[in-house]
Amino acid sequence: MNMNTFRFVNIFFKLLWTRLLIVRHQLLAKLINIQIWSVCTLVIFGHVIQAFGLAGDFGIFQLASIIATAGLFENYGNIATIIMDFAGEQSIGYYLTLPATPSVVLFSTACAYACVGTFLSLSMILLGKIVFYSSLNLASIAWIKLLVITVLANLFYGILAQAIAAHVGTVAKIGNVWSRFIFPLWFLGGFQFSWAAIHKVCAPLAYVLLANPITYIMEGTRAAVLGQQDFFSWWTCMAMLSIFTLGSWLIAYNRMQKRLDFV
Amino acid sequence: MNEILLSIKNIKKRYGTKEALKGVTLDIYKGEILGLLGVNGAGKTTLSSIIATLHPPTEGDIEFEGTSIYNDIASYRFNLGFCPQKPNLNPMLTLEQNLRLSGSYYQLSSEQIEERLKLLVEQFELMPYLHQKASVLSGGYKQRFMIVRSLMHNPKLVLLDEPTVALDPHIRRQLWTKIKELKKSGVTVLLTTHYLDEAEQLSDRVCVLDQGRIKLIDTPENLKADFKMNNLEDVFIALMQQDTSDNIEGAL
Repeated sequence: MNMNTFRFVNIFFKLLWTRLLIVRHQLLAKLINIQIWSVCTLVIFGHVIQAFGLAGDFGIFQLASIIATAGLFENYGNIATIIMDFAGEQSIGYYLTLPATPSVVLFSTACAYACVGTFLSLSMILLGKIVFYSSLNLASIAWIKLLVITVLANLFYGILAQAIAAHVGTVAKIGNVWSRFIFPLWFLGGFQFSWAAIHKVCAPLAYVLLANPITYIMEGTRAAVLGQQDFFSWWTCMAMLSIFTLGSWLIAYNRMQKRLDFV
Repeated sequence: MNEILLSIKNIKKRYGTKEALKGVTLDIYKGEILGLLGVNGAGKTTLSSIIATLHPPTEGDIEFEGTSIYNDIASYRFNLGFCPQKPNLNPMLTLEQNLRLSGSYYQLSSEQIEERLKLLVEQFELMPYLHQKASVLSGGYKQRFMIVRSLMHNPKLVLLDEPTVALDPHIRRQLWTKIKELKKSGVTVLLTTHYLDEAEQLSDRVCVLDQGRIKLIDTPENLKADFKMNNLEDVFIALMQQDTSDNIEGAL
C-alpha cells in the first residue's frame, strides 16, 4: 500500500465518521418516521386485509419487503440533501479539495447512507416481532445472509442517491425524485408480490422486471427471512445486486463529475 | 529575486461555448499577498477554483514549487488552504468539531490538532464561540472560522475568495489585520476581492483580470504612480474606462 492509498483510506474513514456524527442528531427522527410507515403497513397487511381473502402470512411477507426497502425510502431525504447542498452551502466543494480523490469523497457518502439505511432496515425486525409476535420465527431467519444483503442493498441505495441527485440537479426538480425514480423502482420491484407470482400472472412483465435492481433486493431479502423456496437464489440476488451496484457507481461518478466538474 | 511558489501557465477554462479564462499566465511568489481583482464575471472565482483544484482547467498547467500539481494533486492539497466565497462549515457540528475534523483530514496527529487549534483560535480570537454551532454565528465570525479551517494543516498557500464580502466595515478591518498577520507568519496568500481599498491595504501586488485575461499586474504603488492616481480605486476606474473607450473605438 503506497502512501497516497494509505492516506485515502484514512480520509475515507474520517469522512465516514463525519457523516455519522452529523446524522446521529437525526437518527431518532428517521427511526420514528420509518416506524410509523411500517407499523401502518404491517398492521393492515398482517391483521386486517386477511378479511378480504389474502393469505395469513402476507404480513410477514410484507415485513421482508419493508426490510428490503427501508433504505430506499430513506433515500428520498438523502437525495434532497445532496441537491440542496449543490444549490446552497456547497459543502461537497470543501470535501473535494481535501487531499483525497473524488471517489473517496463520494464513496464515503454512500457508505454513510448505507450505515443509516442498514440500521433502519434491521430495526424493522424488532418491529415485526412486536406486530406478529409468535407468527415471526426469528430462529428461521438466515441472519448472516440477511445482514450481507441488507448492507449491499443499502450501499446500492447510497450510490443511487448520488446518481439521482446529480441527474436531477436543482431544488425545483426535487419533486421528480419520488415520481420518476423511487416510486417506480419500489412498486415494480415486487413490494407486494414475488417474482414467481408475477411470472405466473404475466411472464413478459416478469422478464421486464428482471432489469429492476429492487427485484433482486426483495427476492434476496425474502430468501434470507422467509426461506429459499419460492424466491430467487440468494447467491443469484447477490451477484446481480453487485453488478447493479457497480453500474450505479459508474453512473453516479460520471454524473457527479458532470455536475460538479471536479478534478 | 523572489522565489516562485506557484506558477500558473496559460490556463484556459471553457464552459460550453463560453470562455471564462482565456489563457492566464501568472507567478505567485513565496510570502506575498497577491490581490486578484476584476469586475463581476472577470474570472476571479474561476481562477481561484482552479488553483484550489475544485475544477480542472480546460487547458494549461499549474506548477507548485516547480512540479505540476496534476502529477500528484493530493500532495499539492496538503500545501493548500482554500477559503471559498460561501461559508460551508458544517452547521450540524460545533465549530470545534469542524476544526478538529479538518485537521484530521490532513493527517494531523491529535497533538498537532490540539496545538494548531489553540494557536489559531487565540490568533483569531474565537475561543468564546468554539462550542457553538456554525449556524448561530454572524457572518464575520463564520468567515474567521472559515479562514482558521483553511489554516488548520499549516498550508504554504492560502486562497481567500472574497473573504470580506457582505461584512460590516469594522468587521472587514478586523479581518484585514488577521490577513496581514498571516503574511507575517510566512503564509502566501491569494486574495480574491472586488473591494479595491482592501486590495490596496493588503496586497503586495495586484492582478487585474478582465474578461478572462490578465489586464495588468504590479504593486499598488507602481500602479498609482503609472496612472498618476491617489488610490487603487481611481486606477481601476481609469483602467475600466480605458477598456470601454477601446471597445467603442474598435466597434467604430
